[in-house]
Amino acid sequence: MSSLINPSLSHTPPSTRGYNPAVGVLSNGLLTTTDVQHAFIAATAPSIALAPGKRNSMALRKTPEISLSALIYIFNELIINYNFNQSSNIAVLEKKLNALGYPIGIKALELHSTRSASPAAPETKRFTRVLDVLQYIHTHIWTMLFSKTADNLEKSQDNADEYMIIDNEPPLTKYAKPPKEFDQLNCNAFVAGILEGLLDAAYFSCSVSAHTVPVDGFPMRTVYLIKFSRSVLEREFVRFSR
Amino acid sequence: MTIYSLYILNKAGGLIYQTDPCPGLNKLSANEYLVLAGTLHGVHAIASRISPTAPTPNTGFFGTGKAVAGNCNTSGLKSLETDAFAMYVFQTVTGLKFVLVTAPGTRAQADAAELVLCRIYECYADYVMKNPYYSLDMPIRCDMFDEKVVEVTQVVV
Amino acid sequence: MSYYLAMIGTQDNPIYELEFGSFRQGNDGTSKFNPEMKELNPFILHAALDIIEDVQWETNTLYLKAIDNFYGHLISAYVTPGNVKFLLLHETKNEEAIRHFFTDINDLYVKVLLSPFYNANDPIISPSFDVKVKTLAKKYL
Repeated sequence: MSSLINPSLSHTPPSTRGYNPAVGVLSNGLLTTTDVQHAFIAATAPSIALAPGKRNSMALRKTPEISLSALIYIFNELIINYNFNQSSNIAVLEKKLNALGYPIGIKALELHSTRSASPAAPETKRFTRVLDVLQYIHTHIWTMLFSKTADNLEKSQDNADEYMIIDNEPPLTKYAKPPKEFDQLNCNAFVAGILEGLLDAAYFSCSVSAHTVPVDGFPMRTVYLIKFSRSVLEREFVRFSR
Repeated sequence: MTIYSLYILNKAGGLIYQTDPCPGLNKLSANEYLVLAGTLHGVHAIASRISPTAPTPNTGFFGTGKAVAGNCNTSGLKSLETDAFAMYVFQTVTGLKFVLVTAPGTRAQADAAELVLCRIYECYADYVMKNPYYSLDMPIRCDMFDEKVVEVTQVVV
Repeated sequence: MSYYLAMIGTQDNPIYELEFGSFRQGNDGTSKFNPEMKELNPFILHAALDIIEDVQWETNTLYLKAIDNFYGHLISAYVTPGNVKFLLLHETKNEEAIRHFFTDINDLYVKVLLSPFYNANDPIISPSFDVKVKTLAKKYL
């Protein structure tokens, strides 16, 4: 009876099943003998540290690279063709590609900043200013994703809330241009989704879209248009205008 | 080396790509191109059968034990030389054929032609196979592939 | 000495909680919060979120140190670049140990995040994560 009236004080058998959000701290609160044994196993099992300067650090090794061909085959078949068949028009397809990129952005931000810590400065930085985070994407995130920096970062002349990151030769669409009937389609909407997820996670809420703006020699030159929401600009103004 | 014409045939003998990089040649009708491609495919198949060094049937394809398609060997028809033109054929492991028609030339030209065919094969692998809007064995309509083929054939001329 | 750790997602939703005690001076790691305090812990930490929201834009470090207190209990905070907050309710000031604790939890969190079966802001129910956090607690606190 007391367990019903006062659930957080009642005694529940200790479990090693991890945190249960429906139960709260009682699900994983007690350190039992089994827990300690598990902890011992966990502590002695080899694990790879993400941050540099630690034992088995992944970051100390050479930057991992994968074959562009393999990436493009996967991107084409799994991502474009699969969604292509299920989309009624280009806008829907781009939206789906964007949604697929979104969670990748969140994960990429956390992973990159953990990896970029150095033994001298074990703690990385957060971003508080719009320009800082855009510079970071232009340089570091692009290098992580595509092994090169983006070609340009511009501020829109017409709208204060719009910024543009420009890639002359986006790797994912290096080999293919959409046919004429899908002229408006740019499959880098996937990359735009990555940027959107990343910026949203860092509390720079925005929407990102990819547009093809060809110039001579670069038929798939892509402009990522980043439109920040008003709250971001207001915060920027209130915090940093002085 | 003057390249008159380039044909790409799919594994069933259908013409999927045709271009004449050399200006000023008389064009055939679309149907005639298809007939030409089909004939070439047939001749290639026969040539591979009558070749004294042809692999015996059913020895397997790359050791997989799968039966080899009739014309899916590495020899077959490789080149054809006449007083008016020379023709070089390159067949990939999947049965795709690249056919280059050039002005008649010397022995050295055959090597050059082989190189051109390899470069075109490379372009095909990059700009056709990695194009998500292209479906296999269908006629090739890829702007970037067109550009690259022009580039490759221009360099040779 | 008792501690209450909570990880808060970007929508102010809890994704992980742990209540534990000190392992120092012969303690076995069980928490010694009194019953009233146990009930209050989540509320105290959630109240601290408002302060984080202000403080996190004033500095660009991840570790925000002790940002709030509640009748002698201190609340230390750590915000990852993706705005997941780690909050620790503790009784004595111990900045360096808590910094190391948070930094290592961040590493663990990123590993959880890399799992294709984990979406950002989901509760972390992985038992191995749970055990590893406890190991860290034992190591640093």
